[in-house]
Amino acid sequence: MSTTGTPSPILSARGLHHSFGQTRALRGIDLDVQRGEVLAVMGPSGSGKSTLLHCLAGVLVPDGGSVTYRPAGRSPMETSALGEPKRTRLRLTDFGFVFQFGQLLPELTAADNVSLPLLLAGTRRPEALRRSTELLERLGLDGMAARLPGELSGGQAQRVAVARALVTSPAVLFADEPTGSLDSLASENVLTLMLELVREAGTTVVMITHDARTAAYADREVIVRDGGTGAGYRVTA
Amino acid sequence: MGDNFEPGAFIVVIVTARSRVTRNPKNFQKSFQPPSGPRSGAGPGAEQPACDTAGTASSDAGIQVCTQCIDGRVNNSLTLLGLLSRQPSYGYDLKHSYDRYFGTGKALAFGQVYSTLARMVRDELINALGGETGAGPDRKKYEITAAGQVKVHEWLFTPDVPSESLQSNLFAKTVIALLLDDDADRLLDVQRSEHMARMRELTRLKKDADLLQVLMCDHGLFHIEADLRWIDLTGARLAQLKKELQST
Amino acid sequence: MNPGLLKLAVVGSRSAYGRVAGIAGGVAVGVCLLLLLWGGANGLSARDDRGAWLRETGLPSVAAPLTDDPAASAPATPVPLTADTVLMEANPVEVFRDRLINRRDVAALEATTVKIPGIGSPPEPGSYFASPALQRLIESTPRDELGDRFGTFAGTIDDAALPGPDSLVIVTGAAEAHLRQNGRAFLVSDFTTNPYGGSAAAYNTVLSIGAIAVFFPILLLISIVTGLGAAQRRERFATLRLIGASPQAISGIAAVETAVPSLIGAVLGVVLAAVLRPAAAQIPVNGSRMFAADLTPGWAVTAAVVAVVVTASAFVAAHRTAHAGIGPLGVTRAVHEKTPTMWRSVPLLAGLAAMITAVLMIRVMAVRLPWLESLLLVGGFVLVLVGIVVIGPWLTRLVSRLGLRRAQSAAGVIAASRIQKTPVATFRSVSGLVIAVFVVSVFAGGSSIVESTQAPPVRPGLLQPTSLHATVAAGHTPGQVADAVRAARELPGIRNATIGYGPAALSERDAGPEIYLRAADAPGLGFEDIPATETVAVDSSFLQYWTTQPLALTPAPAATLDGMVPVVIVLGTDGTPEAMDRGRTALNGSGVTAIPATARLDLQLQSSTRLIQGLAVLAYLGMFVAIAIAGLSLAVATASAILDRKRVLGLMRLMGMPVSVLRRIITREAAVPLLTVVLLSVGLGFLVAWLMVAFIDDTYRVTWPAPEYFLALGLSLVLALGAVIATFSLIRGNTAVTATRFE
Ligand SMILES: Nc1ncnc2c1ncn2[C@@H]1O[C@H](COP(=O)(O)OP(=O)(O)OP(=O)(O)O)[C@@H](O)[C@H]1O
Ligand SMILES: [Mg+2]
Repeated sequence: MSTTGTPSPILSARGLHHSFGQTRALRGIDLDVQRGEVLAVMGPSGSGKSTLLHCLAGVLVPDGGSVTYRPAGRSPMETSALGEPKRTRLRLTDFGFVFQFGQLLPELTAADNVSLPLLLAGTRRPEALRRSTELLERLGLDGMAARLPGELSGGQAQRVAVARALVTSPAVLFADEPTGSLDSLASENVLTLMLELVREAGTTVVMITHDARTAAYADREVIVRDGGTGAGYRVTA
Repeated sequence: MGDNFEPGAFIVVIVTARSRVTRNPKNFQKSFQPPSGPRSGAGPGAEQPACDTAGTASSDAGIQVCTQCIDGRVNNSLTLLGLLSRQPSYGYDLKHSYDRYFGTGKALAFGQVYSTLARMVRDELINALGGETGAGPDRKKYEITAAGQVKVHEWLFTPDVPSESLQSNLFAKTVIALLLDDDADRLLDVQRSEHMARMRELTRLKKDADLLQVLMCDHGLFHIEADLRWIDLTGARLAQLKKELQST
Repeated sequence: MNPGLLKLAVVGSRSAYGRVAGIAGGVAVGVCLLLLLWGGANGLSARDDRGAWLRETGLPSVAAPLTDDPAASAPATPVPLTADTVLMEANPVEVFRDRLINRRDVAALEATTVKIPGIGSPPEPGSYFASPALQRLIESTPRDELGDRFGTFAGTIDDAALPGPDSLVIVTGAAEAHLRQNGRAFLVSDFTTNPYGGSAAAYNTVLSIGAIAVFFPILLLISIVTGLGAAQRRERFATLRLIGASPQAISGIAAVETAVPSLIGAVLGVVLAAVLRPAAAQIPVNGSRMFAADLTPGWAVTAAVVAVVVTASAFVAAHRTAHAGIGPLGVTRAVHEKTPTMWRSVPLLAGLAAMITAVLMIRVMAVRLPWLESLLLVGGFVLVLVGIVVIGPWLTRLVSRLGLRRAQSAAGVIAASRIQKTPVATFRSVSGLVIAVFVVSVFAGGSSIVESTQAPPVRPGLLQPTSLHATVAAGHTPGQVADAVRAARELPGIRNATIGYGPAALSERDAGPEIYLRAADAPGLGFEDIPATETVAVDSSFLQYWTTQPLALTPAPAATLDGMVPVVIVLGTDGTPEAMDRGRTALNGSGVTAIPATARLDLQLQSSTRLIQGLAVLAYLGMFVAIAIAGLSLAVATASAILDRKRVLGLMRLMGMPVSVLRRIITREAAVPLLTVVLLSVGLGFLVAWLMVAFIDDTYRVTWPAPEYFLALGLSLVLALGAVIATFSLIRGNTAVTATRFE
């Protein structure tokens, strides 16, 4: 891999294999994600990008191969060998997630949606709400904290989702087509705000996208093709 | 899209921006003067590893060829060289092969074919085989030399500088690669990386730029993205394309 | 509508099969229960109709000549028996074990034309016709416990004259002279067909309320089941709208989409009901099972039920879809429920007002308008039922609003927010259970009257429950009585036998207020403080079942007994049913007794609360059905709440929300509305029960409910918990990563 050489990537996958019944979604992927980088994952539809992301994030346990996560200040762990409760906890405390759409609970206000991960982690509600509102303001959503997702535009809802993903200050942010359902301007808005926060905090980002302009916000991209990473990617960061 | 923009000018803008700004973003403001002359602005960019069309030309011949390109997009001489690298053939057949694959609407003139062949013989990229010496060029059979092979390969796997005029050259390279049974996938990947790198640069430029510059960058981004989409699509259709080309 | 589009709508995708199966299954259960209960209700009334002849009270067999001086009435003269009358005596306390035998003693002329239902000509003296169940009992029991009471078997009574296959009915032939002895026989020329006598209207009112109470949860179940998968369907409908289907077309598709599985389910339900009918007939109601034929509703009713269920579900689906406001953009903008307001309390209050008015009319107004009273009562009851369902969301929302402000945990915030935004949908899940609790409370309140007359105390100074007593008929010598007593005392299980004396037989006018007995016999009657005399006396109310205060023995002069006649025989038994029945058979067969041998507890078997008691049995059946259905519908509703939110819950899990939090959310969403409204249901249930009981008769009183009630209440809550827990297994599977993929 051309990405090796830099000391201790925050996430590394070795020989990942995963199948859904007959479908071989991943066939031996090796990948290193460097600490603090923004990595774009590209590739044709059905090539296994989401599956790869799920394996990296400890959502799925790959059928074969391993995923190692090296948190700062803690000893590395092989997430693919952890049990579900531990992986759940890890996702809650160390990872953040943003998806294409429909990830906000429709009955909860924006602020409540954002504060959920904090509540799950045991923060008291007033404190959680305060931090959520603050973050929402930084994302340009002043005065929208009390709105329901149904009352927000797609871009605004997506920024709420970004706030929710970042409110716990995760070490890695996983995004699966975060701007997939937005127009150019809205996606630019979401991306710049998100990346601003991310770079400020030194958060690592793994972002799936079909959109080259979105991928251009990343430091480098990998291309997944037929369940493997293509040879055609290179480090540019 | 940008009918109001002059394409040539735009290319230069990008090249300029890339050459200066990546090294020192602060220079961007200064160097970002939309030049007016068509290709003349390419001068400063010549120090770059690739020019917009001839790309890899390392010898004078290459540059010459480049300047004599019929439409400034497809590199005819290298394309012909590529076609020739399949098997030795007559100038007449070469012209017809070319027309079949690339000449839709723009058939190559015989004169141009023969002059190009003559130049390549001179540059020792090809040899004229047997035939009656002194006979007309259509009686001669040409064969590629080892140097010619190297040149074709180099051409194939050196990415072009992203620009909206790139497509047809890339197209030619892809077809040739497929005809030669070479790694067309890799070719596209190499090009994709180049495109992405450029897009990243433009995106980075946008960060602290004023709105007008942002619009400029966006214009470039969208054009490059169109190329990229074509690359992706072609990549997805390679297998089918190969079957079709090789069956004809 | 385009048939292709319809086909697409009905079997759209693989997940549609699950929905179709769910709807069909739920409707099948609902229709099956509806038909069985309908059959049951009809069966009960058919049963009461067949048993109506047993209520015939005929005309007096003696005529008392009218005189001016009531004190000096002349001796009554017997009314002679004719060819078109029979002399019949209804034996009030023919008891075997703990069951009451419906015994009729009949004397007729040779040439009688009277036909006794199920028999024809009256039996010869000394022979009897018995119902098959009783005949089996007679044959399987030693004759000295039962058979000796009746004589020889002449034949069985036809099913057409029997309430149910377990009915114990016997018609014995007797000599005319024997029946005329105690003056309680009456003359019958033909038999009544009115099963309820005077209280028919009240009985019917109460019965229809009971039926409504049981049917309502079933309707709720059907309504919940047809709403299965509504969220996914809304998405699909949005797509159809997007490609140009009109709102009417969407409503039409929704109607067909629900009607088809409903029809499948309804037909399945009819089949299921037919299959289960023999089993259902085995359930004893009021001490007797049903004839399977009684439970069979006619094909017209069956067709009507199927038609109504299918039409109603299709209509509701169309209506819901039309009002969900599905635009081409579908569910990207959540459809908001209308916020419930205080207006939701109107139906409940109106219902209560109607019921109270009905009761006040009966109690206060001089003029009786039975039809209006019944209408108010039944209508009021329906309104209360509907009212509880209607007011539920409003109350739930109030509570959840409080809860949201105080919520600290993620589960609390999510559950409270959801309830607050969709109180109607959330409450719908528990509405079945809330209604069940209400119904159970009504039934428990209604049947608590029965419980209040139970368990006479066992104390010295009161007649022992293991004792049998029979008054002696006039005209028997002490010797005859003594013989009978001696014979009885020798039977196994009989501990002692006491003869009580008085100046004249207790039915005579000269009978004294006290009963005299030998002091030596007193301990056998359970007395402890015995005066040191040879003869003692006790008030004759000692024999009455309503005496609950212990009586004391008073000393009597030694020679008192000499001039007296035996008036009562009391047998002390060891309390075993065999001994009791042996004692009864011996006393009743001795020919010296005026009334059949009686034990204190016998009265309960034939008390005036039988009507209510019958209802109580129905009520417990109703409770069971209501609770079971409610649990089922809660499970269904909870499951669909999970399935409808599959994607978002899946994403929450992906983000690191443990499954346990999801479970807590689901549990809370069921618990909050349930607990909010359950207390209201209990209170209303007892209020309504009290109103209904007051409607029937003001001598009844509602008391503290029986332990069974609390059992039922606990059972409902356990069931609710079970229903929710049962859906837990769905959570893990349906919120896995795959649920977050777009379909
Ligand atoms: N739960 C599943 N069951 C069956 N097959 C699956 C499942 N999840 C993924 N697949 C298959 O695995 C392959 C890779 O899927 P994946 O979702 O990773 O693709 P992707 O690259 O994310 O595609 P897209 O860009 O369209 O989202 C596909 O062929 C898909 O059909
Ligand atoms: Mg994907």
